[in-house]
Amino acid sequence: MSLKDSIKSVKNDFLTDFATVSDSSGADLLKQKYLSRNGLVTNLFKQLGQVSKEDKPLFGQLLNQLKIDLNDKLNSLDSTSDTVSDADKIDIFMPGKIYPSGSIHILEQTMLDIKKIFSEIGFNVAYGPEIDDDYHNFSALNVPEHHPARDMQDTFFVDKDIVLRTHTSNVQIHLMEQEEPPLRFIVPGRVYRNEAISYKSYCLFHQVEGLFVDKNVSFSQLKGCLEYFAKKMFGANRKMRWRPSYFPFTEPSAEVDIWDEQRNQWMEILGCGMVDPEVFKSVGYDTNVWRGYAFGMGVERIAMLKHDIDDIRLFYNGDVRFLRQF
Amino acid sequence: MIVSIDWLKDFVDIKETPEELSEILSSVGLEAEYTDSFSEISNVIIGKVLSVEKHPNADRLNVCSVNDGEYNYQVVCGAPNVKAGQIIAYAKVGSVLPGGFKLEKIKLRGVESSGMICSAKELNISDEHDGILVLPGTCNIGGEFFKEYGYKYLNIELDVTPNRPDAFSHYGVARDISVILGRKLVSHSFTSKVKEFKPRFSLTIDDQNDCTRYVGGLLSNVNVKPSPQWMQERLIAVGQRPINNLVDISNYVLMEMGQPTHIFDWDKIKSNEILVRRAKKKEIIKTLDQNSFELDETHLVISDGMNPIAIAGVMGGLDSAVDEKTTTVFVESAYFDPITVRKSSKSLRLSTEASKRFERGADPEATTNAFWRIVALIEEYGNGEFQGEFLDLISKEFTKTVIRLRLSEVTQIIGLEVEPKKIIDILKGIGCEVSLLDNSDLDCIPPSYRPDISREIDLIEEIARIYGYDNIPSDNSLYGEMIVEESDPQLYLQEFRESMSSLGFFQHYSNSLQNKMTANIVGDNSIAMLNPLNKDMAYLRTSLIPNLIKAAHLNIKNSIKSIRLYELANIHTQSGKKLKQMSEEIRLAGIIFGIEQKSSVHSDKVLFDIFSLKGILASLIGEKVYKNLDIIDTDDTFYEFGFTLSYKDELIGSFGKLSKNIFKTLKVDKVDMFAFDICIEKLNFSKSVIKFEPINAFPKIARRINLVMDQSDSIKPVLNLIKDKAGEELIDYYPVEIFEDVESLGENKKSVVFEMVFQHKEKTLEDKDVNPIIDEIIDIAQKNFNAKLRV
Repeated sequence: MSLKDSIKSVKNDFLTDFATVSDSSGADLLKQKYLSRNGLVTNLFKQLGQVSKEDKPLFGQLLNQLKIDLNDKLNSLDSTSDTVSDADKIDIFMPGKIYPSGSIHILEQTMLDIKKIFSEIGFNVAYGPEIDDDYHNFSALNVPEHHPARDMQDTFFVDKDIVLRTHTSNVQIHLMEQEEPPLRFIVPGRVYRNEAISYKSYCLFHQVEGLFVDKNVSFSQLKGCLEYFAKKMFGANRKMRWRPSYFPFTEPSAEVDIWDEQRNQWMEILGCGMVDPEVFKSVGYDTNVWRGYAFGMGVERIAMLKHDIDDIRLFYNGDVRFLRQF
Repeated sequence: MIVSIDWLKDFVDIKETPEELSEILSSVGLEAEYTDSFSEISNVIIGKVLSVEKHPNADRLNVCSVNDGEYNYQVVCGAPNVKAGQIIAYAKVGSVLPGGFKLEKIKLRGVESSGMICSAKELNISDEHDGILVLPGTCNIGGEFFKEYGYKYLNIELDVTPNRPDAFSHYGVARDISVILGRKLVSHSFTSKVKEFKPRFSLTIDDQNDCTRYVGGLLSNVNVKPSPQWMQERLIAVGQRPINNLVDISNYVLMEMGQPTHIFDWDKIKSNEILVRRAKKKEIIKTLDQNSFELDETHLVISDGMNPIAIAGVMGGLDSAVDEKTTTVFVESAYFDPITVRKSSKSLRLSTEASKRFERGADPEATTNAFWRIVALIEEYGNGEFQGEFLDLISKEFTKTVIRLRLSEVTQIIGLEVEPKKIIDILKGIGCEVSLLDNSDLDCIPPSYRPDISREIDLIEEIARIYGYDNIPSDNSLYGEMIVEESDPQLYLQEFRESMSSLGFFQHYSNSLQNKMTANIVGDNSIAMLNPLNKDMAYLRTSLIPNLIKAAHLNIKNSIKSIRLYELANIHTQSGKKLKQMSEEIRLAGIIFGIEQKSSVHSDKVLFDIFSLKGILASLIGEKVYKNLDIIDTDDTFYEFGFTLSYKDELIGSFGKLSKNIFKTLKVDKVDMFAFDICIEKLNFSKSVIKFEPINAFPKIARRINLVMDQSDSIKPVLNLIKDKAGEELIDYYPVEIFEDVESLGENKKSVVFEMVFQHKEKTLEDKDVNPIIDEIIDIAQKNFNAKLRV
């Protein structure tokens, strides 16, 4: 091996070794291996005598450079470790180096909380389309055309029979078309309403839908399930109220309020009910065998209630002064 | 709908406070909101105006003497209608009016005034403030205003759901109260003793499906004048404006019984033929609210044989409206088909108290009762004379349906065994005819005013509703079959969100609706709304980046100097007008702007650049995948300079510096901003389970080569070469140093040091294993890329 190759080889070996070393004791070992009296670099210097006169300056220079490089590298290790151990020089009241942290949107966090609670009690998670046909968003859910119930939700139309879904309930139909009962799902997603934007309403919001279909499902079980949810979400001592209501796709239908100490009033958190037999008929489930319950809640509403957010528009404008609070 | 508590008391005994009554109504599904408008008023009493004299220094003011039952007070009053002898609401000095306004003794234009005579507005009764409120003589002078008079205006606002047309009236609400509280409901039915008389008009219904029953009749010698004070008070209490006795009577009966009626001026109807028919195309009607409508076959009208005189169930025509000269009236009380009325009202965008009730389903049996109630009221308060001229035309009999109710199903659905007696009481209470069968099931005939009850489940709902949802116990056992499904198909997204957070990014949620320009920023394939809210929200977004730029702009305006923002949401595009041609795709897009690292005691300020973004993407996407990505220049005009990312020959996204066009389109100031956009579904590897690889304990060996290249040459060919030639043992390779120096390298040259790290899975690598590879790489690099090895 020529001296030139040897230099290269020693250098590479050093780099490989160096990569595994992280403290001054390791550096000492490498010093021993390469730079001591019998070290590998020292030995290369010994070979200088064998090269020709013309080449000597070049190789001398290369070897000197190698020695300097190695020393620098090893010393750098020494000094870093030294600083760390040198407690006197540290003023810990200097700011730490900056590692910025962002945040997950409060609506996302709320949705994740909701998913988690229902997952604990056996609900699976499914999703469905935001653009859907009239059939899945309305007719199959027992909301015929020309029914006053259509006024309950102002709808964006993409075409005569195509809408931006007004609720996540369209996924109930998709799920039941695809799967045989029993089933137990929640469906989070974005929904749209053709409503003017104000502090309390927006042209879109997020819902989590729930659907449970089995043989002996009752309203009493629906109460148990949603009370579990509300207690998990808002605290075990929260006062709740169940009110009869109307949704075309459930019967009996109910709305659930929780007591808001701060506002001194009942606040609605969700709508629910027993799946209307008409809905089962539209997906071909035998209404003499299968019964079910369904529910739907507004994620924005829950987040606003829980965190005292008083303007729904704050969710959507991307103001970091809002986002970083959660 | 607003209900007056005083009015409800006509039909059912109510001892509860308005708050308690609201709770009760909410508990049976009539969501109630009570706003206390009187508690903030104090010390207002009933007074009498003894004398009224002109104010010496002001034309419009009067100086009145008011008696409070004990003393007389001098009050300056500006109301034009004040007169001696009136009973009025007198706010004494020291009393408090709405808004916390406290009355003090003052001088008005030099005359002392103690207190105030109140208008309806000042007492929270209505918006009326043109004059003082004149009270009926029955009020006790000196008595407290609320107890003597104000109580009449206590009201509750109800949110009546579309399935409950029966609750759209005071009588209907009273019925629910009577059932829930077990109190007697006062009967409220009317007939006439006058003998039927062949009327001078004829009645025809074109299509029995549009109108199943029409009652019409004539009253003559009517005197049009203001309605009685009690009637006006009640209409005001429920938010209606009194007009004259005829209009008020029709409105009163509507609010009381829920049956819409209409009163025509008979002398303005040009023939004796009343015909219920569909409108002809282009037929025109001018309605009571002074609007003109062009009609077509969608609209059901009442016609005088020639022209339409009313849009059936929606609004009467102006040409046949009653006025102060009216003497003979034609009263209509009919049942119009819900869908027909709804289509008509929708197409004209004309929603009225009448149309709301018809489209939800009025009571087909209520037509005569309401008719006779109207007749009686016109006779009493409008001097009208009814001589028996009326017709009750039934084009289609109302059919009663029998519903079988299985008690077992009641128990199944509610989850509680309700006593059969309780069930029967509830059903009878809401007006069902109930018969008990041998097997203890029930046959029920729902009342005509409950069109929503047609199935067994509807009866069960009624039972649960009246029984009280809060009285149904909660079943806390977790019931049902545990179904093994694929876990949350979007669970993988959470890992990306968490990565974004730790990379310093805030998650944005933004409006999916945009204007046309913005939505078509990346291609002309956005989906439009047929009925947008406005121009700025008429299209679904096709990219997440515009809203991120807008949000960044908002933050820049708020003096935020460093912005990392991302959104993870759906975008929508279309390739055609059919639903199948519309697609939804979840994207992850982000932007960075401004300062990456602010200056500190540790380091100088660092600004974001394209390599910040590249580093972020590497960290986000993960080492394994990132290493195998292809990055290629793109001439996408979205970017000033941009690059596409592909994985296994599939495009997964792009990144780059945003072009100035984009800022122009969005009408925000141009700044240096970097963005990325990823089809995140393509990075979903959650289905493949990661298998453990044994940790390689053999030493790594690193080699460097220093190549002098043309300044303009990319390092990419060298990197590719290294990758191609180095073989399996190459575990990492990257440029570690780059420098330019004319003296040592020459013009337009750069020196790049590449480091390669090798590791073998089964042995310690030695020089002889690696050196030939390095030599080959150097050799090819020198030959093919105009590179030179620097020693």
